[in-house]
Amino acid sequence: MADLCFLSIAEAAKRIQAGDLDPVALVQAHLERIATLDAKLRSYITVTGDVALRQAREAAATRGASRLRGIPISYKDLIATAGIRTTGGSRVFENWIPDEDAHAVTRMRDGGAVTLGKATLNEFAFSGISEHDFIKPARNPWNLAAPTGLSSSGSAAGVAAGLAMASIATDSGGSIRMPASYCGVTGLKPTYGLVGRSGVLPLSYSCDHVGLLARSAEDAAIVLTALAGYDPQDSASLQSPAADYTDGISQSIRGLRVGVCPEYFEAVGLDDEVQHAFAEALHTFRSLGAAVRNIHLPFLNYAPAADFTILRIEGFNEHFVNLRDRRDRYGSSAFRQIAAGAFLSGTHYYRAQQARRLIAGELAKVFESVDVLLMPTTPLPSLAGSNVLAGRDTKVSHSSVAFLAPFNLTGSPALSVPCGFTTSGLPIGLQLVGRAREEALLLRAAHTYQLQTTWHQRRPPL
Amino acid sequence: MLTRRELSNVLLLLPALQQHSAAAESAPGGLSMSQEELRDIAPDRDRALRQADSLEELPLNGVPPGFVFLAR
Repeated sequence: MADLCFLSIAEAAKRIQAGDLDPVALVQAHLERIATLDAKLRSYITVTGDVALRQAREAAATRGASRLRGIPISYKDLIATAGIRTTGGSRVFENWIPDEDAHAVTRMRDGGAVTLGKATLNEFAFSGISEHDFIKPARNPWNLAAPTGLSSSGSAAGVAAGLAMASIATDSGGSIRMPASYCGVTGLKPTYGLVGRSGVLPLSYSCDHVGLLARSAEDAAIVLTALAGYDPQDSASLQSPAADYTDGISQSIRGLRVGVCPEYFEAVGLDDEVQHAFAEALHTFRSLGAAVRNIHLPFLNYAPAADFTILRIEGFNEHFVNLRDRRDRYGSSAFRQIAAGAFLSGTHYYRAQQARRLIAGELAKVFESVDVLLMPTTPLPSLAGSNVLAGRDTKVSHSSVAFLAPFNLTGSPALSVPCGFTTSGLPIGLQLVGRAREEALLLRAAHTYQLQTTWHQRRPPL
Repeated sequence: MLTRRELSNVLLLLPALQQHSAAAESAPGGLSMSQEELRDIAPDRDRALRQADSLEELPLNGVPPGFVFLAR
């Protein structure tokens, strides 16, 4: 059972196409594993066993060439699924059954993907977590006492534990990449607007991105191929020609120009083990023929403040009516974090948007001379190690989103892949950041790295 | 130029405007809050304001707002 659940999407797709793997058997294996493990992992809010088996039978009966045919996946529970409860992790929506699928769900279903269920998140993707929450927090399959990272916690935990082959999720300030890093999976926040957002409970119009988690860059490329595309209901949606993100994924990255920003790493402060894993990853990229150089981003340390200022103001306004009329349905942490946006002014918003332009401009300049940026996904692993280098910049030092939030601000594609483990067995993530719409290059670089390393193939000790 | 917080503090010292200021504090952004809620939310509010105010340090004169993202 476990072997089926840890197949890659690429391998499962080949076997389904060849008639060697029955989609029903694949889904049944996942449902059994969920039944066995998810009581302690809590990666699902809703498991849709009957729906999944029906969809698997449909997939088995068709002969479509889609690589997602029969592939079981989950959706973060703020993505609407027709006929399936969608809570946003909140009592505000505890009984909401959407009439229509979100755009992202339609794209995946059109490809034949099977809906295993709705993945756990913290309330509205913008709250702390507590055992007293309406939805109990997900647990990290590598260490049940360790944080999963937020907010796509269930998505990451479920994919890492073999309870889904991929999960569609969202990222407004690091919410795909942080849990991907903490749970040892691959997480992609695409270019802003590449994946349509209609049918997703919004937090921030200009920072929300729909993306995915999977167990490899190749699998991420397969999922993104289905997911990306124009969404007429999302005014931020890009009109891009259809792309197959697996085309050329195995090509050499010799000559790839890689940028690193050591002065920002120093300002943030890195855990020793994260620093070591990152150095090893750089060495691997160099051995693959990448040319690594230092770059300067003098205003990057203001990016988390700008991103969260925008996110708080936009989030408050998205939630205003419910905060006013259904306040008693909010958890106390979600209420405080979202309503804090009420205290920020138009000046704060305008200034943060100016900062956005300033930082996006300096990033664009850097991308004239490099192709990809590399950095740790988070400065600390899931459980903070000892001997953390003291950061100088108190605004960002040790901030878990220091390397994440900037790319929600700029809308740049960013991908986290596993690059090592701590001595206590917790995953460490490496982030690759690219120019707008260059997901194919990021995925090629990550895939090439994953051909040289085995971090992404490890399984949690469940 | 006074920051928003400094201006708020000045307003509190003016008796004629004190009632207006208290009303504004209890209805931030159009959302009314009780005194207890205001106390509970104070750390989140202060963190949000600190982060937002920190952007004053940037050289933003003449920089247009980033509504059209360069990443697009």
